[in-house]
Amino acid sequence: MIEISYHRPTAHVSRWRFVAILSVAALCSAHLSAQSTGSVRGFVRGSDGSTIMDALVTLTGTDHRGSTDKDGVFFLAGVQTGTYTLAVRMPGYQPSNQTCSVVAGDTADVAIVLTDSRIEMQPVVVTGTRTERPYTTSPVRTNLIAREEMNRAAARDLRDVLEEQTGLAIVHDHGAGIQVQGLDPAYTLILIDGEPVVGRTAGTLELSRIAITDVERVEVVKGPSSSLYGADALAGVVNIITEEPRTGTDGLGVNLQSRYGSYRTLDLSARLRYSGSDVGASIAFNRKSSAGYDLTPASISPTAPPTTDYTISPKILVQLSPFTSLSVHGRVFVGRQESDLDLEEGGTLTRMTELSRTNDWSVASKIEHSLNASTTFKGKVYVMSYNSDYSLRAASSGALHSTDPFEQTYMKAEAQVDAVLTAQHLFTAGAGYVREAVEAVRIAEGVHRATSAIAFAQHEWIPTEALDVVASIRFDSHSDYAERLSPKASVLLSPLSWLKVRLSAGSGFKAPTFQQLYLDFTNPAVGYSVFGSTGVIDKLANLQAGGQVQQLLVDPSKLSLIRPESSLSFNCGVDVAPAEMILLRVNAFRTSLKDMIETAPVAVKTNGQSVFTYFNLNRVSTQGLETELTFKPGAGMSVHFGYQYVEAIDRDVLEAVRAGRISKRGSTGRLRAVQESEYGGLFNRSSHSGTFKVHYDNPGLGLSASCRCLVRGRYGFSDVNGNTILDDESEYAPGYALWNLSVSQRLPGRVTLQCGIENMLDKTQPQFDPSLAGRRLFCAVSVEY
Amino acid sequence: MLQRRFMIPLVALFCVLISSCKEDEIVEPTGDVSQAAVVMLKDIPADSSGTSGQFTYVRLRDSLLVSLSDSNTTGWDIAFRSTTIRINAGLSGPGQGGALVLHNCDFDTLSRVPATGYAVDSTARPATLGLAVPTGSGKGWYNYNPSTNIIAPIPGVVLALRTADGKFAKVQILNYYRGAPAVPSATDSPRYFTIRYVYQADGSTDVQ
Repeated sequence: MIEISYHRPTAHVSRWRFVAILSVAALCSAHLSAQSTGSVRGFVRGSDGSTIMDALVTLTGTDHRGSTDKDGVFFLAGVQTGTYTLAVRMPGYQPSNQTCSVVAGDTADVAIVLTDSRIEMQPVVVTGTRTERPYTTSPVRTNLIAREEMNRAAARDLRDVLEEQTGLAIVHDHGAGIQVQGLDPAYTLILIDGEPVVGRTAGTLELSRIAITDVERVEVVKGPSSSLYGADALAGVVNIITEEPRTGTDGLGVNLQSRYGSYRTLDLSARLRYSGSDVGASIAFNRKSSAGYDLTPASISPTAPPTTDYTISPKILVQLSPFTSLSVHGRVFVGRQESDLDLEEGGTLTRMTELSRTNDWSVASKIEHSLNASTTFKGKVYVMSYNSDYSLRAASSGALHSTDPFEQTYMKAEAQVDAVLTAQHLFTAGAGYVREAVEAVRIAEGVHRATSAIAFAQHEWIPTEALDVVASIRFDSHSDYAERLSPKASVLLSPLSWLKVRLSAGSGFKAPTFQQLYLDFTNPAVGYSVFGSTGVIDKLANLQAGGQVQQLLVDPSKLSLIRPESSLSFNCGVDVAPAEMILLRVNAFRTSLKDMIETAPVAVKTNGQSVFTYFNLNRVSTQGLETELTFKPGAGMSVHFGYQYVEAIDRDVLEAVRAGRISKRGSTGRLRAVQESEYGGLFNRSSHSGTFKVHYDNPGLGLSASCRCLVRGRYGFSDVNGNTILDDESEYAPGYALWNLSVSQRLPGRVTLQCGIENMLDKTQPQFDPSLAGRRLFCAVSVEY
Repeated sequence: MLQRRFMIPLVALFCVLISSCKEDEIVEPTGDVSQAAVVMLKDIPADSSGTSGQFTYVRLRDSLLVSLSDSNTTGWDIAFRSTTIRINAGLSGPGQGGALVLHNCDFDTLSRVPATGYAVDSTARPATLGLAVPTGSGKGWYNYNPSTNIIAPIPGVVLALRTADGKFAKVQILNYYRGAPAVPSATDSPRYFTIRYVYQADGSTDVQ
């Protein structure tokens, strides 16, 4: 058997090789059985007539493979006679599969034309497999939010973008975060171009911190992706893909955008792009400000304080050689919020000025090198730093009352190799090293450093057109918590042209928080202590040596490293497209979470107070169903309907309810056990939620309009009857619907005007959700050159 | 163009969804409850300023608030300071008191309290912070809701009490806020106990 595969031939060499191959092939075919083998020769070009070099050519079902030379020519010799499928793959082009017949002793000539995937506008996703895949055939179910959709809604930041998606609930706890498949924001990883964004407060990464000026698309993978991304990718991954500068001959490009609306919200965005033959560069700038709003005029502090945020993101792409590119993405964010409040201390009220400041910056450098037509190497170095400070000053004197600085740094070096082994086998593997540092007031010694080593591998097997199987596994070894192995497997079945079934099972984990690892806190007034898991043994020994421990409740030698919270999840999705204009997507999910981290006492001090540390205790499970129906009747109309049902329960609470261990006063005032049917699961989750969107586009008139309705069903707000669980009608916040409308008109001179109303019916619920601002109007202008 | 073959699984799916939402019938307890001997004490201040650090001492026999100077006598049975409860015995006083925290217990139908097994305030029981009625959310008589900062009595907690003079009683804490609002809010004044109890003067454990 002869296999030919050569890489990046120069013109000079390739001709010689071609001749040499022909002669070798001729010799071989003569030498082998002249009766049973033949050859395949072909020419691969693009639909625009250009020759395509380095395209991967495979005879399906055999070991024969090769790649095209500078002239777009390939040659496969020593092929057994028969009829084969000739598969041709080239990044940036749609895959081609063509039938060819090999006749004994003869050479079959084939001509292959590849279609540029960009011309076809076939959307590509990258998050599910860490390699670019067409959206519709990605084996990992991905939700794609295109730039067009963000523009239509006049979204200003990531919060606006995610808010209108089915199955993503915006919830507020020290910032706006998203709940995915019934799990809190802490369980979803946020990435920008595949790199993690750090800087969470109480588990929430403030989504409005992320401007979308240069964002091309947002990909959401629901269900665990820890097998590729490690910590925190437990409920899902949101990957923000920014527009990469292009090399070519476009020259200069400019985008300017401004938006002004109610509450004096002003957005100014600018993008400048340069494209040279080997260098592409871009810079995006965004300034976002708001005067805030006040739904409770009786109190001095506003419901939403005035904010001003700046984001600048410069990027450069250098094509070092036809096979090697270097890209550097930078990002700087500066945010500021200021308002007054009345602080009560010892019975007296003092007017204070509250200042919250957030800065972050990141640099992601990536070198990408094609080792050959089928193997790509990516080397990445990523640094991100986040710092915040929350301070209170007396409004009259300006004297500092309190300050709470926090700083976090994340550095990662990572290498990844993507190899197309054959048309049926794709392999990706990588390894990396992470250094993290955190500096805060309540952390032991004020600063802590940690390191982790990571390795991951993924194999994709596509035996037939109807089956695509991908399995991945990742190992995370962290200095401060137990190591973790996260596997995942996904299957895409396409038995019929109108039907796709995706199944996946995987494990995810969430790293313990800095607080859970490093906290060193003793309440000055009451006297209890809380120690993070890394320092508790030493801290307890110190307290014992100082004679402050009355009794140990746990043997310190039995305290082990805390484990990350971990999950096992199953997703089953079905896409049905019975007609061109209809797409129905349904996904059922179930996640079981264990080892959730909670505090528990380890000792009693001589002052009668406890010493607490963190343990892996609770178990939670969520399950539900997500449905999306898109209907495009034509004439520029598009109707979208989305619905999610989710249940999230604390399994320990459920067991206690089943055993009759939790009581309440019933409607008659008499005591009775809480019934299982009354248990509403975790707080702050709507069992039912949905979206309804209608879009109209008329490219001829340059007119586009969209009406969007977001429905959030009732959700558990807070315990009222004293048993801490959600089990009573009085403990729910009512549901609501928000209606948003926007209209845009393109004008001559590349100007687009847009106007809209958000929350048309002026729905507010200050007692339950202060982030629900009232009716807002806006107008926006954008110019593109 | 939606064909029948798509509708069948869809309809089936919604049927499954609807059937999974069906709720069990909830049956409220019925039956007469004798309220004859139940005493209700409203708004017992328990260091209501939050600064004095003093307990308020209560005698069950005659529902009297005992003066501070009698705190070292057998003249009181139960004392309140913020969420801390003391019983007259051991560490807290010279009486023969004791308490048992009963869980998932219906005050209305509890006819007898246990005769033995009562805990006494002491430093020897650190796991419960030394007190017969432990402090801490979820540990003794109350739950603390961190999202609303509200202290609420745990439904179904009844204190079986042995008084300073060795008699028995059942005590239930109903509210921690002044005026016993049904749904306390952050504007209500805390550290005011509303309790109800049945005191048995004959020394038996019958508290019906």
